[in-house]
Amino acid sequence: MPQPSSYEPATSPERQVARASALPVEDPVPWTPPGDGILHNDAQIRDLMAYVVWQERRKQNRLQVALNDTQSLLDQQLAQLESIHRDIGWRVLQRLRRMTASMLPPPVLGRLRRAAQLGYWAARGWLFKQLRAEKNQRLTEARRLAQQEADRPPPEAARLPEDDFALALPLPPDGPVPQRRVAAIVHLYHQELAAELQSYLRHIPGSLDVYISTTDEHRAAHIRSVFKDWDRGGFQVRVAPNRGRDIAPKLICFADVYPNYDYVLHLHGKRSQHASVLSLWRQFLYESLVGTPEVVCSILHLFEQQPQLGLVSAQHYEPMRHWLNWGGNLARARMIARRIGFDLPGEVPLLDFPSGSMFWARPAALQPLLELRLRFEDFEQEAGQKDGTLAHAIERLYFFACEHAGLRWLKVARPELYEHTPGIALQAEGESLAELAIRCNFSLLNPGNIPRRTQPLVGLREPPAGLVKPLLHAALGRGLAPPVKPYRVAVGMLTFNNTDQQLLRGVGAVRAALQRDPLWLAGQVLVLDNGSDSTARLPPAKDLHRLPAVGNVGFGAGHNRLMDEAFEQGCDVYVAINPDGVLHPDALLHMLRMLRAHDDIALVEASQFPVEHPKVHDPVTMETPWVSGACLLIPRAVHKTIGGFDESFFMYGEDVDLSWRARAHGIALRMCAPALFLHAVTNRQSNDQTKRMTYESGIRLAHKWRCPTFEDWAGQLLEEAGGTRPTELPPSVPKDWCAYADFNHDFRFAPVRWIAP
Amino acid sequence: MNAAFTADSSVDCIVRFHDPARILELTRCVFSLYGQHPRPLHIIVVTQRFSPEALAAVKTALQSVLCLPDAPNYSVVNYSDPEPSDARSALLNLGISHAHGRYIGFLDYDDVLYPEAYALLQGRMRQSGAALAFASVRPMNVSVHPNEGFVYPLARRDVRFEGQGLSDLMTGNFCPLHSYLIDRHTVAPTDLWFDTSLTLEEDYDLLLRLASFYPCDFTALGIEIGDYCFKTDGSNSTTVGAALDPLRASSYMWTLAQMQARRYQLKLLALRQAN
Repeated sequence: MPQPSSYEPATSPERQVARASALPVEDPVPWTPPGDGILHNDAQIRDLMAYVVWQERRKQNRLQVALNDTQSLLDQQLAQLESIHRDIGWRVLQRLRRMTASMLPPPVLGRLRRAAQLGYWAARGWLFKQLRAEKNQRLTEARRLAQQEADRPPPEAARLPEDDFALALPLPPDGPVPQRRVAAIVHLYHQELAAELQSYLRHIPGSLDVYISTTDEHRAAHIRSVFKDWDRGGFQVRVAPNRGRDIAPKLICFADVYPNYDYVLHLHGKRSQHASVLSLWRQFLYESLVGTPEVVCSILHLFEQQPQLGLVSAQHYEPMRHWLNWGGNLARARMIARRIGFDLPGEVPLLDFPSGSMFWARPAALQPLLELRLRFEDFEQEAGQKDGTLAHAIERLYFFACEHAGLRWLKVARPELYEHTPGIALQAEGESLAELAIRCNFSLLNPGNIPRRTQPLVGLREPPAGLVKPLLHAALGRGLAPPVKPYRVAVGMLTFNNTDQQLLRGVGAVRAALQRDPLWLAGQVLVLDNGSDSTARLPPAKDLHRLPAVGNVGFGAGHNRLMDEAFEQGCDVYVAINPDGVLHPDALLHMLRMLRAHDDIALVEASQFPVEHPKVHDPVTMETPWVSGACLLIPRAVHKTIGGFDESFFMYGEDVDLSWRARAHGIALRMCAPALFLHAVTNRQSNDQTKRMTYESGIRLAHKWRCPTFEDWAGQLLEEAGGTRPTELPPSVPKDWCAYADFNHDFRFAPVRWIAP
Repeated sequence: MNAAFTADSSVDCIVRFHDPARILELTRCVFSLYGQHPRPLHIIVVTQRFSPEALAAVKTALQSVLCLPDAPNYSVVNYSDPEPSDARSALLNLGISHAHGRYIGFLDYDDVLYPEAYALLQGRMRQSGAALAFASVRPMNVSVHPNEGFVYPLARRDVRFEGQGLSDLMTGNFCPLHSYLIDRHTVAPTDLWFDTSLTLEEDYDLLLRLASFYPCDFTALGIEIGDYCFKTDGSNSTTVGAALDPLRASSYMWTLAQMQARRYQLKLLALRQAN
């Protein structure tokens, strides 16, 4: 118990001053707004200003009064405490307490007190109740402390950005790289990234064995199909449990592989939310480590020339640099480090690590981690954890483990991928690579007095332009040369009682688009009437072919007929367009460029104009969760893989179903932003029949994609709209596919950027 | 052609364009006009002191869109006088001098109209006999990617002031340049002009003048007929939300004073009309 003199007196000068200033008195300033709402002269403006000032002061006063009340309460409690201290009985007994305390050792005294307390509770019949209360109190306190710990920002552990060096790549050419045994060890949960991965792996010169882990046989089959023509070396896919993110599969599933190679490349199919600032992190790491053959050669040269170099990773991605710290992983990392055989230095060890867990390495640098002989069961079940798992702890130990193995690590950077990173080191004149590497390096196990950040950095909200622009151009197919022979395109139009003006504009625009650039395009229009006969307005011509009408067969079935016709005629590409829209003359060209940029394996939708569909799409990669059938390009190869629309949908939802099936087969879905499709979708009045068709399609979609709650909800909506639930429903897709379905956003089936007008 | 239109539903749309580097946005704007239902539609693109090369580039870009069947007519008119330096009002006056249709509308090169916009406004004017019909537009934040050839809509933008009718219009301008159409059969040519001394709120000045003398139809407010684009690169012709430089701030104060004076003069007339 502190002595009374250590308390701040209740009437301290500071408190008196604070309270004196808490009692300003201001006369109310009367003000009424002018009847017409307009201030007509300076006097009225002055009155208004005085009124605003008075209002602000009144707010201040209220706050000050609340503060004074709190202080008064505190003063009362302090005064009560003082009175206890001054109490004679308390003072008399204080001597006895002190004497007892001095005679008995504290543990004995403590036990005696506890025994007396328990005896008292037992005598009063309170024992179990009090013990339970004590236990609950302890648990509550533990939870509070844990929450407090979790809420507290982790201490800074990274170096200052200006001291955090990375070596600029690519290095000046230094002859061919000697042929070594190289392997890429990759974990791909998102199998649709296999094609992208393969295109980057082709930047690695010489032979390359590829080992890919994934989480089920369905994904594995797709990855095998993408790599079926891999001719640069061996190729294996292994299925691993979905635990420990990419770390566990690489260290456990492929533990037998490392001894066979001189160098290994660790990559994985990292994915972040669309439009999040980290959405390009994967591409950033790929670009940094295998972005060009020159980059790869530079890294391999570094390994060749420096036998002590064990691990090379990319300098941190700028938008995540402010998150560089131990997070909730320090205790676990210490434990693993001890198991390996070293201690992390200091209370909060200086930290650096290959953020994103992608890097090049000599197998020896990973040996300490491999020798842990971890098992998948050691890793947590996958639950979307952002921190605090074994995988997160191991990610932070790669450099430490490398140093423990007696090797050095190095970070590299392509300067064009950074805007706010000062420590990118260029090779000085006369400086050897070894000297340069040493200049860029330090030891985490023996860091000395290297200064570290004291304050968190401000997070960047934009990825660097040097990364965005090339990726955007690559996604759009900018700069691609025309193909050797033009794409044969069929534009399919399914009419349904359209006006003369719609048909005149719609078909005319398609013809203009098909004639736009003969180097890329050769094609025709295919027409099928689902409604009234349009032959008089759209007579057959050299570039317009009509299919015989068979009544209203629905959207999907109609387009399937047109699509079959197109591909039977030898077309490479089918473009479904709504007859009430107008294709921009350049739209087809943009869409074909984008298709070519994706190796002809993609569904590409045009951008609806002037009101773009609100569903999200990545503004750089143009990736989108589903593609609309209003203006949709379907290449032959995709049609061969997944077929056409599901004809059990009469109208609405069939494009969503097609999109999800495509994703389940690893086919890219892209929104071609420069390709405009003028489509009148604003201010349309929804009628009951449209609603019923929408709800019915929702039922079919939900049944097919195994979402009973949505199916039931759509059924209720259908019944409320006067419809009856369909009895014949499409068969359900395999369970593995359902990860691609999204029933969390009503009938929009994807997050949206705004509510459509 | 929709049979509901009267024989004279001809529209002139004056598109103000002052930066040759912004042709991507101009073509989007014009493509949105292609989608309008009423014909004949005459698009008058008014440029501000463009070089012959820039004018040729504009015409080529327009031709690429307006080569389609049923396309509107168009003409490109260049404002070449050296004064005033900021010719935003003069451009619109020049456009008006080239207009011959019954209805006239305005559009900045970076905004777009939805296909039903003009048909909707014409319909309202026919029903009510008003000289002006107003609707709403959707304010959108967009980022422009000229090199990549697209405009990316980011999100809907909050509106500061959303008016309901004539009395609100007297309080402040909530009607962007492309949110209304004017019937020239009703409005006297002598009233249809922009004050060239104004470099801010020139459109509001016109609206105050017309709304005070002619019947207006506000029944389509709430129906969005176009996008008002606020660009992340700060290239909007009217800087919104940013600090004005001292000279521009002084000019703005002067403009506000003029607006206030005009409101005073016109308020009684407008209220009389409303009653």
